Amino acid sequence: MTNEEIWEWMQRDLDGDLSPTEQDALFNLIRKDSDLQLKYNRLKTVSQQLEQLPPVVPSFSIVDSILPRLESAAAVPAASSTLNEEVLPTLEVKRKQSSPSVSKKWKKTNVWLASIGSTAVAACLLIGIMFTGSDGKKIEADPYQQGSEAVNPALKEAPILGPPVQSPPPSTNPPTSNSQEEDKKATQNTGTTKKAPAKNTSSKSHQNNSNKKPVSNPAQTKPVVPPKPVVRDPKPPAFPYGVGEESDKDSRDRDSDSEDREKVKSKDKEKDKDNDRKKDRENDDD
Amino acid sequence: MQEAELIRKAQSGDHDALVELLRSIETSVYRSAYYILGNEQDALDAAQEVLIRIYRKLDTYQEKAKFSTWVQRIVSNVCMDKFRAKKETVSIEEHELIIPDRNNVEDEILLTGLSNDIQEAIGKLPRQYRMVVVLRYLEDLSYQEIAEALDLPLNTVKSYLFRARQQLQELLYDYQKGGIG
Repeated sequence: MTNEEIWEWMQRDLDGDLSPTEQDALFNLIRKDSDLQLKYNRLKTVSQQLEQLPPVVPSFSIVDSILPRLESAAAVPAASSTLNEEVLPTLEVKRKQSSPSVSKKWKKTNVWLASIGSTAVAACLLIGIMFTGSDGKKIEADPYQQGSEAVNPALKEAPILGPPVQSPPPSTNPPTSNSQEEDKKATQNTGTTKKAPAKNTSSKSHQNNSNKKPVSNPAQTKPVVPPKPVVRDPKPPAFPYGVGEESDKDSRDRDSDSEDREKVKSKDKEKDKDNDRKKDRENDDD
Repeated sequence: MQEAELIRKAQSGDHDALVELLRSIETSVYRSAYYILGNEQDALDAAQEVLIRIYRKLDTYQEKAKFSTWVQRIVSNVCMDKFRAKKETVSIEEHELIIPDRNNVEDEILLTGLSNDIQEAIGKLPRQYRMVVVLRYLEDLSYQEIAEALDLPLNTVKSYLFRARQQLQELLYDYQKGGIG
């Protein structure tokens, strides 16, 4: 038997793994060899010391310390699910990550829209400048090339943009101050009637009531003179066009004007009918 | 109540039986963890973890193996996880230096000089040797049961145990001669 085998048998004997015959054979060998005896005694001492290790005990009951946790986890499984849901706001991290990307996209689209809008405005301005610039050049260049006298463009009549207007186009807009002139022309054409002055006076009185508008008196102007543009208040409009604040006076003026117009029209029609009847009578006489 | 009956009741959902079963193994779990890990705080943490695992996974236990073997297997797994979590920069195998915690339990051990020596010597053993020694001497498991608990071949268990005892004997002899160096 080799030393290795003897050493193994010694170890097995300490663990009680040797049969009685094996144990007798081992003890016979140890008795003959003092070194083997010393080795065996040291190993046995170590084994005895290991067997005599103090049984350590926890300073408190570990089961009692973990029981509340265990019972809460077992009894309320919903609590764990809520905890998981609370962890999901780490999905909030994802949301947080996604939200800036969305805002970036919106920012990009806004920037693109702004750039497109600005280019469109710039193009419109350029076209407008080109048109106006070309008109100015014509005014300056043409007289110079043709050798005609140079006339100060400021003294000239304002150039009319667009086609020349021979007759005013029919407009759907309600007439404002021009309707008064038309009314007066109508009265002048029809001659002096008893009712007409009364209307004029009413309209004049109405005009006098609204003295704010410095409208020229149509009675002093001749019918040959082309109608002058209506002079409006120099006061800038406080509201955008179409949304302007209407005073009660203006609305009343408009109502009275429309009534006058209707009356004049009805009178004109009656006069036309009278003329037709007269002509018919003359024809009948003939 | 016998252990087998307690286990059966606990597995069938008897909460009181489960708690009683945990109380019956609490001390042995802590003792193994204490001698494997070498200090009270780590032993308490490991014991808590072991008992929680047993509470949750008791239904997976089958009566093929001894319940104590199954429990000690969980203890060894938790202790190995602790070793890995620590990620010690100095290997235990190379430099077995344990700073003893001056707690009540350890003070009791320090009362006897021999137990102090063997305690220090156990701390100097490699992890696998230490586990085998603890299971053999503190839990009184056989070679086969240790092999099952540590999931090791039987001859490997024997080899570890024999070498562990040899190392302990040499360490204690050196200590008796003039201190463990």
